[in-house]
Amino acid sequence: MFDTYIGLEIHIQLITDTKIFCSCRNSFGDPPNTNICPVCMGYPGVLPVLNKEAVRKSYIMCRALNCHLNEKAVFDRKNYFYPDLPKNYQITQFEYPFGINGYFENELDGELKRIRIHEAHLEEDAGKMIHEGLSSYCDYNRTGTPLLEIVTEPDFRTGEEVEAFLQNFRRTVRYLGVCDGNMEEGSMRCDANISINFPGKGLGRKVEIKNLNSSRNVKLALQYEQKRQWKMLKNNEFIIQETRLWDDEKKRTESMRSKEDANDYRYFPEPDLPPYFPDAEFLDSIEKAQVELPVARKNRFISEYTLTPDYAEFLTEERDRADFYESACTNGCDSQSAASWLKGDTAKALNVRKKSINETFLTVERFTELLKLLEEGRINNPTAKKVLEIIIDEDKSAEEVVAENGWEQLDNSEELEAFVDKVLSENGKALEQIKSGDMKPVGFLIGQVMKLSGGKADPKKVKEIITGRI
Amino acid sequence: MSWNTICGSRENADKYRAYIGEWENRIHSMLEYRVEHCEQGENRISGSLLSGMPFAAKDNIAVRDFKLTCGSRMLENLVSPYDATAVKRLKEAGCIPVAKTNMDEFGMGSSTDNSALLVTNNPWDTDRVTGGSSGGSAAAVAAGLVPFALGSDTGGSVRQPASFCGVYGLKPTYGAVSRFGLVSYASSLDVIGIMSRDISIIENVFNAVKGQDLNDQTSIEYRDSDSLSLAEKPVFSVLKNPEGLSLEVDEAYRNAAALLREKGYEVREIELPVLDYVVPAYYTIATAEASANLARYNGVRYGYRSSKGETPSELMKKTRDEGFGDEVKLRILLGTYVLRSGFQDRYYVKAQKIRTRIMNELDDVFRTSDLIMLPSFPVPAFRHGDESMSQYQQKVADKFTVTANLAGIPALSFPAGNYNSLPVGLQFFAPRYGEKMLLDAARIFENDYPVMNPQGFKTAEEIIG
Amino acid sequence: MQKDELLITASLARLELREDEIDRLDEAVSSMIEYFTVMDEIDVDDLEPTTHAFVRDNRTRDDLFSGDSSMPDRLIENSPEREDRFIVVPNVI
Ligand SMILES: [Mg+2]
Ligand SMILES: [Zn+2]
Repeated sequence: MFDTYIGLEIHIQLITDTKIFCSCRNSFGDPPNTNICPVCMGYPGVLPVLNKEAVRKSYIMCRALNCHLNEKAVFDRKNYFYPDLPKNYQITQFEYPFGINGYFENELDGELKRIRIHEAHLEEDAGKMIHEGLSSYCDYNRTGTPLLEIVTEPDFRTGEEVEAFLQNFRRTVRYLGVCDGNMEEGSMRCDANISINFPGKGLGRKVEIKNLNSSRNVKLALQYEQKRQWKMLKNNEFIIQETRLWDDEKKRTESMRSKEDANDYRYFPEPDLPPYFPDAEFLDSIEKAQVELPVARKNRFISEYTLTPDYAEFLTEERDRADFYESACTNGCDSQSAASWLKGDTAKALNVRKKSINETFLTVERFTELLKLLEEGRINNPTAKKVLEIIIDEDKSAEEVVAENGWEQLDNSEELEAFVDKVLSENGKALEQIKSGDMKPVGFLIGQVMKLSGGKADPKKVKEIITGRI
Repeated sequence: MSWNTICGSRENADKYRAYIGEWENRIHSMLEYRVEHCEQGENRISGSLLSGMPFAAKDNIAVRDFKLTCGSRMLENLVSPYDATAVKRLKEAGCIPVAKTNMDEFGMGSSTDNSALLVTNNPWDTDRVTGGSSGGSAAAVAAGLVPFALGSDTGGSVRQPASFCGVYGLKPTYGAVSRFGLVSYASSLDVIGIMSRDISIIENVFNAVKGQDLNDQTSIEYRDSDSLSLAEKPVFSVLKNPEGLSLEVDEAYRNAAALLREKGYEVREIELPVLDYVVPAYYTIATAEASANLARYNGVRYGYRSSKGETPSELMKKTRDEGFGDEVKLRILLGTYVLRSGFQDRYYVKAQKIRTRIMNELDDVFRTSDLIMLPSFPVPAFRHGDESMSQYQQKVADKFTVTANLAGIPALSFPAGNYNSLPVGLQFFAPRYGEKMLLDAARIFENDYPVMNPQGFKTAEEIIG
Repeated sequence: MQKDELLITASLARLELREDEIDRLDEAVSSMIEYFTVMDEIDVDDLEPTTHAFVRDNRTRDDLFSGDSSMPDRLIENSPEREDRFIVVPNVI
């Protein structure tokens, strides 16, 4: 066996209205070259102007990653030529990033493990290029999107650990509202580096893997690479320090031919931007913006609400969902039935509508009311489902919906008995069958009574009456 | 000031155009001029002393719908899509941009002969250079083509041509004038400067353009209360042993010091040991920053593009080889070299530390004197192609000017008399926010060293008269 | 300076130097680098490097959109080669 060391470089696009250094829109999916101006196109004479919100969100993230926040942060120029980089240098942070030496509490299969964060720095994204035939087509809409780059220490040992980390990390950035964490659209991107060595020998030669656009692919690529390198080490082959690309179709990594020149980025302090000194008041506001992170919240849900890990995981996956659940519990809902209604029918209904819980008419108060009606036996389960659908789509309370439709459960035994009588008299054959010992038609008869009652009968009671008659 | 009335009528504009044309045949100071802009004079702003005044801007300062060539083939056909903040503020004060002036390519040079587009001659002697890099602006002002012009000063590029052409040239405190719209050469040194034959115009223009700009985060707030004023009896410092000066400049420097003493001012003799290191420190920092600032010119989004090149990398290399002149290439190479890993500490970091030393030494001087008087350049305007003034020699000669840029302090070059029919300029240094001090100090000499007129010069009255 | 150092530097700076330029620039660059070594003589080890202007307060901009709607088109029109709204370069192989 060998030791494996895996580290990650994660880029998250920060959620802001405008770009990092100019007032163009920071928006995804617009027609090419519509969100551009002289600044983000690298025109002569223009200067970068730092976006306050990009700074704020960076610090929120740095703090959530338990980073030490440098007293002074400095922007640097990283020099390299590429057609998608208008100035041919990237403004980033090199020597004095916003945050250093943090950690992230990761969890895999119920086990916590601290992943150290080397640093987190703010930088600008490059444009996009489409390669077709003899030409490459440049679109600079993405140029200048604020990016926070988070670099971990090589603390991962397996691809599974990394996959779990990326899922937890994605939830974290969404909880904090700093990034939407969409790996497919590239708002969250991950490069991995992996090195393998004989036990106790420390890090081996580092191989970097790029082109990983889902957490699953990151796992697959790392597993592939781990095997490839194991085999090489076993055969005493030399592992080249290089960058490899994940080929999603062939499910393997391939060597990216090294660039024509060795890189020397010639970092130096960006003279167009003064250093940034986070002051006490600002840091206080960053502290106030902190929230309980998903992994911690999930574990609290398990103990505080006695939920299974599955339920807790589901409920804490999105912050608004977890908030909804907790307010419902505070509001008097039974924690078990609230969990099961949220994970079951509510989730199903929201999925169909492709909406999150906060984007509908469903409020904690209405949800609580619905569960109360059910608990008190004023409506039955199928009715509750119908009511739920309506209060998601319409601005009405559960009570209102039940009253409007006359869906309250029938409590009156006389009425129920009359229904049963009617059904039994019309279904003589079924009655015969039951009397001869075949209980199968009971369900059918209950169904008939329910139908006759317009769904309002309590099925349990109906069953009681029918079996009583027989 | 009849400059305020030269614009506003067709007739005056025609006379003005003719006057510019006459001079331009001899000196070629402008890459583009459009006098029709001032025919209507619609920009009148009441209460503004600058209202209706035409001006020229060095061609590395963005004026919307004018070219922005920076004296380079690389940008020969680029039309600016925006206004520099300084230009915008001048327009708001009622000024009218009429011309873009020639310059050393991207501000790199001390003669304007490094322009890839035009050769500019000195109005005092067309065989001679105007200085640089704001040579076109200095020549246009000296010849009376505009009442003032904007230039840029990274290492003396406003003051040295001002001294070669016999006009005033102000290099403001770093950050006092927004750099937004000034094409960057060396970002931590660059500042927009003002040239004029009239101290009051410089003062008014400076007041119109100064102050913080949201588009330039290195710009500084400049309230009236920040402005330093000259003491009633200011103390001047001069160099004890100025080295390497030509006879004319040496004489002018001594005469001016003597004159100050005659007028009853205290003149102290000082040494500035760090002067021996300022030029290498300056060229290290300036070229390092320039190597990155000029990386954007690669033929992809605007400007010149080579017709060769099968890959983006080849396209960029060919474009940059064909689009840049020798001096620019030299400085890009130098700047790239001093930033390379392994060399950075020896050159770039060291230079930044020397910069700190310069600031400290100057602070010490300003503790005991109000202003420092220095030569602007060791020689007066030299001839085109003068072999004793090689590109290398020109760089070494920058030592008196670059010091102010490295320290970020304001400086003003003023005419200090003509010697052998050529103007000689000297300069004052003041502490930061000392622009008013500089202008008032220049007024001390105003009668002794009046601005002289090159042959063929006409005042605004004479032009329209 | 060694000629190969010049070529490495030129390549980093994306300058393709023609043969005749190499010698000329090599000499010019070398004499300046030589000149820079004057800095070795001064002892400034105890000083902090000055890298920035004097701005001491934090400078940031509010996250508000602003823009001139005709600007994107003007910028695209300045590009040497374009197709639809894309700016075109030779394919990155
Ligand atoms: Mg990065
Ligand atoms: Zn923009």
